[in-house]
Amino acid sequence: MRNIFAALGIAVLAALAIWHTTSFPAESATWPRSVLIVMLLLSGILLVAELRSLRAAKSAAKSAGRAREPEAEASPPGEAGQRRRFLAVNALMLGYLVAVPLAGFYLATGVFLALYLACWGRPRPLPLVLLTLLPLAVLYAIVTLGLRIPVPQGLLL
Amino acid sequence: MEIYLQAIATVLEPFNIMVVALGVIAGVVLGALPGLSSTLGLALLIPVTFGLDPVPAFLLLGGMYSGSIYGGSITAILINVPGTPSSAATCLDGYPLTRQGRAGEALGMAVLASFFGGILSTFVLLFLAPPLARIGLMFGPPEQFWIAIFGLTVIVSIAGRSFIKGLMSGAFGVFLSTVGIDLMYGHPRFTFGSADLYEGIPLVPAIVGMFTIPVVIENASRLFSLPFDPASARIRNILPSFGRLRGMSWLFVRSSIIGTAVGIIPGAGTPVATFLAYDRARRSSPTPERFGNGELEGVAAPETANNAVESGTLVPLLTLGIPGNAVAAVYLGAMMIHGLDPGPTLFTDYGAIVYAIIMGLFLANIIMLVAGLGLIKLSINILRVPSYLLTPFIFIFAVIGSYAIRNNFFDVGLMLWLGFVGYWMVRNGFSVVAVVLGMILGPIAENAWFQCLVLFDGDMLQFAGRPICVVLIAMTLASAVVGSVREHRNRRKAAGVAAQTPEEGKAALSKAHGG
Repeated sequence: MRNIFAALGIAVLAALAIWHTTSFPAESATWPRSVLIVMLLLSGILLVAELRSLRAAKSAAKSAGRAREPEAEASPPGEAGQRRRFLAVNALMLGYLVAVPLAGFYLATGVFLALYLACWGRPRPLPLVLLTLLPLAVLYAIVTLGLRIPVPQGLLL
Repeated sequence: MEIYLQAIATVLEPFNIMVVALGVIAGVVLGALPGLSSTLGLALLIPVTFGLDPVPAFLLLGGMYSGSIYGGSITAILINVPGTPSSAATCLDGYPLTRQGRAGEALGMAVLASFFGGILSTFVLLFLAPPLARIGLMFGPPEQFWIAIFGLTVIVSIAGRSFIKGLMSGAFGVFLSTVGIDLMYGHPRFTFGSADLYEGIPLVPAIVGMFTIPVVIENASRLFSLPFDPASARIRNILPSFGRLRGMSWLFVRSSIIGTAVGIIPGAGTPVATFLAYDRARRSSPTPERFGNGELEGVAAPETANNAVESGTLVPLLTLGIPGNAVAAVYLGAMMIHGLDPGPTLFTDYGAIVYAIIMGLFLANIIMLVAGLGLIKLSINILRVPSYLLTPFIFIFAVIGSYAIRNNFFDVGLMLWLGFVGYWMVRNGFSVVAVVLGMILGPIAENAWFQCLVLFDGDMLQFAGRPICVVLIAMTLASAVVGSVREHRNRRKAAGVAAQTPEEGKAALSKAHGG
């Protein structure tokens, strides 16, 4: 089922993008429109192939005398802890994205690192502080002082 | 001859030697960590190369690539977990050797084999690429268009488990490449009024996001610890006897030829080369029954082949602009970012740089040999680093890298968004490699297409009827047919398995559908 939803979703997005190309001049629209039409066609092929596979699997199961029907999709990560960690890491990355323009790269990175290590590594307070500050110092030495790669500035730092 | 000597002199500058050494060491560390691939390493290193000239930049990337391929064998040998997919075949005999207390010999053989494979295939690259590039110079816009389409088709046919999804991913990449101001007519496309998108979606945030964020999410979601037992990894002997090595000389040559040939064929993939080399070594061994139970030749063959693939993939990349695997696709992106357009004119326009890059591969392999043998005992300690210490740093480097290219925080958001898209794609069997390749080859194809329209005024015979075009179209169709047939067969097989047991059916359907 997951693949069917994916094919439908991509088809809808491709159709919307094709509609958007109508606002372009004809010369500019030709190439992206051709690519999007290919995407739309491929979504259709995927949809048909998925439906046929499902039907074939069902009829094969029926002819084999099975009472239960196999489900097409792989089950999503089932473990509750895994799902929790999945949500936590996404929230942490998004939070970091918001924090950097406010707090600046190094402060936001320090908080991000400490939170990540606290949640995933569960170390004691002293190692946590050391594992946050030491890498930050090394990062500053390599990135800012050594390679002189610019890092995002924030309102605070 | 002069250009070779000039390239050697460039590579042997102290700064360049240091850069290669850093790349090799970083590559070994990264390759030894399961889940962190050569592709991810190169993607993270690209931003670091911004401040460097093209030669040291590509020496760093070349060193990282060579080192990571060897690094992948460390976990394969010590804990039966391939650090990179290219080391999967090394597990077969590497881990049994460790269990026999011969981890040192296995690691030593992996270093030596990687060295031989890397050196021999670099010789092939050095002598094969220039004549191929001269043939490539005959290519005009129609050939360039069909080369781009062929490059895209051939990699999607192997990049994902599903051919249709691979094609969809490639088309999505080409679509992403159309975002921004149309260079031909100057009209903004899909920018939705955002000035940050006028120049299009920058390649570095796209590559970094698509390759790193899925790894960060996956590593953080699934807590894992490596089943590393220091007692089983005691190091005694490292080097095999000279007589044993001499007896394996044909194995090194044969495995190098297999690796280089597979590397040259776009889309064939490193694991194919390693298993082929392993199989050939087993078949030609007087004691094939020992393979799988801890045979040094079983480590030597795949390790020679996987390093030989590296230079092999550079042959079509440097001469025709066709990347043969995921690493080459990222390498292609890096070349474009540094203003080097891979293709036939590369050797004429940037000969000095290209030959220095090739000579750098020799140096990378020599440094890998010295560092690999010298630091075997130390390299085992890489396995003690817990994954929770690495994952946040991958993300932090991804942020730095995406920001650095334009000093624009918008790119960091873009990187994260594309990373989420990449994660969804990976989870659902789509191919992020094909997306990146689509983003790289899309503008080349569009530009060539536009030139054809102007040059031939819509004459399709000129566009598709020239001899090289016909060959390229035939090759494109052939790879499409092979991909479609394989997908159809997978689906039928999956449906058949589904009829037997629901549980097996679920797994088979999921695999066949790339989900």
